[in-house]
Amino acid sequence: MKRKILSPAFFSLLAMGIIVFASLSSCLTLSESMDMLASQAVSQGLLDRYQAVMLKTAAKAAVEASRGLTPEEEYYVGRAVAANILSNYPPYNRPELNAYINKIGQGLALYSFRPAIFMGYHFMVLDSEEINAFASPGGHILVTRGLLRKVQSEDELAAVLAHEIAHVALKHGLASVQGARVTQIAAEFAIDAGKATGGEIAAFTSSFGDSISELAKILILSGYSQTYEFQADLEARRIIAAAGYDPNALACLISRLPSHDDKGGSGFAVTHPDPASRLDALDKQPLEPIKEPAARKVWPIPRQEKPNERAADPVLASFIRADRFAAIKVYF
Amino acid sequence: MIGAGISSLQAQASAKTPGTMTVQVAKSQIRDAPSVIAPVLALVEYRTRVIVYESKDGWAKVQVPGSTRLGYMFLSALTEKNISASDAGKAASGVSTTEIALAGKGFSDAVEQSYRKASHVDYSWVDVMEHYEYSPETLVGFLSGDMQQ
Repeated sequence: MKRKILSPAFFSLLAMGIIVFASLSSCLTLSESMDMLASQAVSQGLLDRYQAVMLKTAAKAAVEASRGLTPEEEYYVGRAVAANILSNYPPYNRPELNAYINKIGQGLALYSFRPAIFMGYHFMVLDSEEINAFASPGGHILVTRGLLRKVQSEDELAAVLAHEIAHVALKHGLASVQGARVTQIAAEFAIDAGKATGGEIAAFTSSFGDSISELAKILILSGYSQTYEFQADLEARRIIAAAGYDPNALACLISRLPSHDDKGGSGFAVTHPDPASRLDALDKQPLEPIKEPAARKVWPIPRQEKPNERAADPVLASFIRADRFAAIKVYF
Repeated sequence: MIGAGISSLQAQASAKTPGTMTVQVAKSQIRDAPSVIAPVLALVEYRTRVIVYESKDGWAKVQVPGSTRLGYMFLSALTEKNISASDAGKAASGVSTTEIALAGKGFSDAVEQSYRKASHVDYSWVDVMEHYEYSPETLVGFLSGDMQQ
């Protein structure tokens, strides 16, 4: 069946629709605005019914694209991405070490921009010499033994974990996947399970699998954009300072990481900006004073509730951290 | 520019909140004060609607469901979107089709099962990771140097 060629008038109408939406957004959705506009255009002969349907479909797609994924959807995407990474890197099954990493990481997450995510933040060490770490959407964070061996204190370990937490909190993972894929996955997630047919689930599984592969590939091979890495550094420095660690620990660690010039570099040397540019970015944006006393997330512990009086003295606390770090380092 | 992205997100977090919000995490605690070590007043689960009075510094002041008592929970545990299953069918009152569909009913689980079957990807270590779970009280004690946590 022959269709009218979309005329410049059509695109003008589309632009007008967006402007109308912007002006009416307080009371109408984009979809509703476009429906209204399309109906008027058909009645005035500006569009045929086919073009009107296209306009409505475009509006619906734009709505889905802007919706993004819910934390629950992020969680399921994150589980799949983490499972894929764990298929490429074997886990390091040391419960003492993984418990230690989780206590520090989950504690730091309380001070992050997004302390509550669908199922919380979880951490695991990978048995790999490569210097690398991965933050999957949904809060699954993986760190290699190679990176741990670069770490010289609990403060520096906190900096590593806080950097990965920042990627999750700032939603860098899904933002790195092609926009069209996120649109597709968001739209298809929205199918009602009660009504979804086997065919619909199978079709979605296919696009879901493609998105997971793309995101795992980004994390393993290319890394996030430089802008996201610099943002994660700034947020990591704020998180560790708020949690009582030395904010300079991040720069100390970065200065010992391999640069892009290192021969045969892999992991961080490929997936992260050069250490010199990361240090430069940190220098350019000094740490803002942390609200005292820890007003943002954790109020001072009332005296009668202190879990352990020995922890009251920050100097003593730093000795305790140093002792336990020395004890756990044997597993690195 | 790099910092601007973060600032913009932080500004959203402290924006004025509407009267009602929905819990968007699997479970969350409502506490007596805006502190993770304050006594827990109630546990709220995914999709629970709560009345929000104000929000500041990442905390929301809310009414404990089924009670007149007020408490505090993480603002990031809440969304302005309506994802409550009980609200399905209220499309005429302004809830979008997508929001109704987000009531979920386990579609994400179904996709995961289907994906696992099709891809043969092993999730067992992801499940192990998720077993490491500590209370905020334990975590705050640990970070402050408590060896017994």
